[in-house]
Amino acid sequence: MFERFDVDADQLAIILAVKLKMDDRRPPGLMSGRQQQKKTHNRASLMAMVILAVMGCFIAFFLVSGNAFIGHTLYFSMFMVLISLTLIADFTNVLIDVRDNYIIVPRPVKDSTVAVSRILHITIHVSKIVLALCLPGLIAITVMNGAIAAIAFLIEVLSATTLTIFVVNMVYLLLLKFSSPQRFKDFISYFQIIFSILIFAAYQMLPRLISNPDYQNLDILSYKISYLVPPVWFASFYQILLFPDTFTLEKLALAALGVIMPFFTLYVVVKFLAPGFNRKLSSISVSGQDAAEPEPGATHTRVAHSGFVQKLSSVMAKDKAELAGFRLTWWLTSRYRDFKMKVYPSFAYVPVYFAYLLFLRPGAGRSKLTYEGLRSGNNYILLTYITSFVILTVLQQVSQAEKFRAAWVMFSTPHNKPGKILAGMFKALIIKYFVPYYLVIAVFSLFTWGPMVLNDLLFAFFNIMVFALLTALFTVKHLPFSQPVNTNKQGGRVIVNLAIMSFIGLLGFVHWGLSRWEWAISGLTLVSAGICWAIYHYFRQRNWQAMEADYD
Amino acid sequence: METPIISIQNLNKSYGSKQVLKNINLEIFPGQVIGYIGPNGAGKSTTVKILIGLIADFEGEVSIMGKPLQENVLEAKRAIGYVPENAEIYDVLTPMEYLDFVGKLQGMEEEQIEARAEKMLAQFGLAESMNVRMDTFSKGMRQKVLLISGLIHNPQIIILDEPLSGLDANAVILVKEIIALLAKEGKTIFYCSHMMDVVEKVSDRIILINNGEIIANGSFEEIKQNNGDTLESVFSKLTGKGNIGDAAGAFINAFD
Repeated sequence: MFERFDVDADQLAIILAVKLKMDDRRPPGLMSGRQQQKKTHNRASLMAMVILAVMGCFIAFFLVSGNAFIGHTLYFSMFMVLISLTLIADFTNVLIDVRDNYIIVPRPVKDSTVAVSRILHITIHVSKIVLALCLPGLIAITVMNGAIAAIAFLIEVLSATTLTIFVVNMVYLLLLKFSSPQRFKDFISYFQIIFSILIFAAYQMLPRLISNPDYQNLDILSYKISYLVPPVWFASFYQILLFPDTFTLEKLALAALGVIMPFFTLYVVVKFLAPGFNRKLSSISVSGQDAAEPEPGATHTRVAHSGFVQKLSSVMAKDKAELAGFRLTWWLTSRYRDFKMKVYPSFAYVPVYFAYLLFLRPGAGRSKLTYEGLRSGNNYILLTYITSFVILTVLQQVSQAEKFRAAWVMFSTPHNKPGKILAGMFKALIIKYFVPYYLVIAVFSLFTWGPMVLNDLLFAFFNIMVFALLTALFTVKHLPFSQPVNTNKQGGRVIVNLAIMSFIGLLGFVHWGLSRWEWAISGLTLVSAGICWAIYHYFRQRNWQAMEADYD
Repeated sequence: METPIISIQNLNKSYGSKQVLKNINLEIFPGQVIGYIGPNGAGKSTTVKILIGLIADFEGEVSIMGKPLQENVLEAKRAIGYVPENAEIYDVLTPMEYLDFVGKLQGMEEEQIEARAEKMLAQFGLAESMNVRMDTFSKGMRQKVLLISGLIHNPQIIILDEPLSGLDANAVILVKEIIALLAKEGKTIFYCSHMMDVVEKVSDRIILINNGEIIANGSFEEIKQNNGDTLESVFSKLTGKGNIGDAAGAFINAFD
């Protein structure tokens, strides 16, 4: 068969074997930024499949939750989201392997062999992802509803996968049309961030939502907008096939869409999107970091000199080393994708935690599920203190960088108090990440609970600053961006971390207990601010002996 | 007698059970251009890292500008400008941002950093790129920025570790000229490289290190006596790789 396509089967086998071997040694796209950089991966594909299978188990709960129509709609919504995010995260590595141009193309290999190897590689990759994700659902459906249900489920999976590939194609084309390759890589990071937030939210929320009686009685088709949602089509298909007594013309039409649309989109992908897609994807490589010379078409990211950061840093940090620490931290936190990928989700975790603790945790009253319910009581105290999670994440990540070796310059320049660089770093992090976020929370709190909570917001702010400074003092033992990513050197600090976390919990509890005495809150705000000042100045004096900062 | 600007006495350094520097003794005087050469793993980088204060735990005595390094590490760092072998740089910054950062760490004033950086970048043909992120730069462009970052504070001692790596022909000529002019101004230059022809041309004293020991130390004329006509042949002979021709022949014979 391969000969008919002018493909050298032996070469094809060799190319595919090497590409699959490389896949096994590459950290899974889903987990990129979370893996230990130095860790050698030998079964990365298997690991990625296990992760997806675990997620598949999670979403399979929808299939066994009672109402099949709602269950399948939600299952395939999650399925499509997970598949598309996985593909988007992985596609840059799998699809756009520019090393082909240097390693394979100069060798006597036909273009057709290279093209078919790419197609097969992608097909194998997608199949692995889909198989791992749908397997738990398939087992659940087969055990519960038998072989016919399993076949119907597999058709749903196939349709959903085809549609997802179409959507991913479209997303890629749109991103490539409106962004530079540099920005494109950022977009991929943002998708990975969205992915981690979704997983976190699903983990916290779904079990509670499924057991909610409102969910079980929901009539999705009463909302006409649902006609446009592909998972509703697949759910209709399944229901007509398995539960003929629920047949309606409306469901028949939706089921037909579920079967026809994937074929149609497949045709569009093959005929119109794929050719331009491949051409455009290859342009992503132009900003390759190891390029001997910049590519002629490379997009240079010009940065406005001076301006806001220069002025702000000059006001905030008077000492030169402190100023250097402030600016370096400000610039690098904006530009290191790895840092952003780990820190940005924490902004979303805060409202998710808040919603969970307030509404969904076992024992939370259902009466709170309204705006009035939210406004009753001192819930703003909970909300403000949860924001400390953002600071904790930022401080945990700021010492690490993929290009940590560039930090040699901080060790070879003349300064005996690295605490000054750390003080600049701390100020930059607080001003850049925490203050704006806290302001949003504060405005929301003032709007929701009224101006009388202003002194509580101030008190909470200084308490969180005390927490942040203690965290920096006890856990930040390295200069900014001077350590390899995910070095597990924090083993001994688990107890310290737990103690600090308990401390902020205790502060929050004390605040809650005292909140009825306005005078106490106002007085303690001054005390808290004083403690902040004292710890900050102690932190700023840190010398090399107090650091774990040997170079190399 | 002139005081050495760098003095190394009985320097030893081990990583675990492996001794990488064995009883090194050196005296380097102001204005000298030292070519510090040796095969991979000979101990060149370790020597350099000790001199610039990156490695603090070593045995022996090292003095910079007449003062013991370990007690005066800050003064030594102020006096030294270092350009590393690998282009380890915060490449998401622009050249101006990076030089601002390094200049601040050296204690320079903002205006002085900006003025010097602009002039130096312009001389290296980077005027147009001074506010462009370096992650799209070629290796040579990054190397130029690193060179400037090592010189921007006008150091007395300049330690260059493979400074010509990745540079284009014009930049190589420019750097060689800069080295010559800096030496004329009385700066001491400690030049590590594998490029023997360049070392031969720019250095007025050559130190050859092998297996952590100094095996040759003197002017090129002095060390080439009885060892070969070119620095390459001297290097091959003294480091025990004399039969390069035989090795090349054996490589070609692998086709048989």
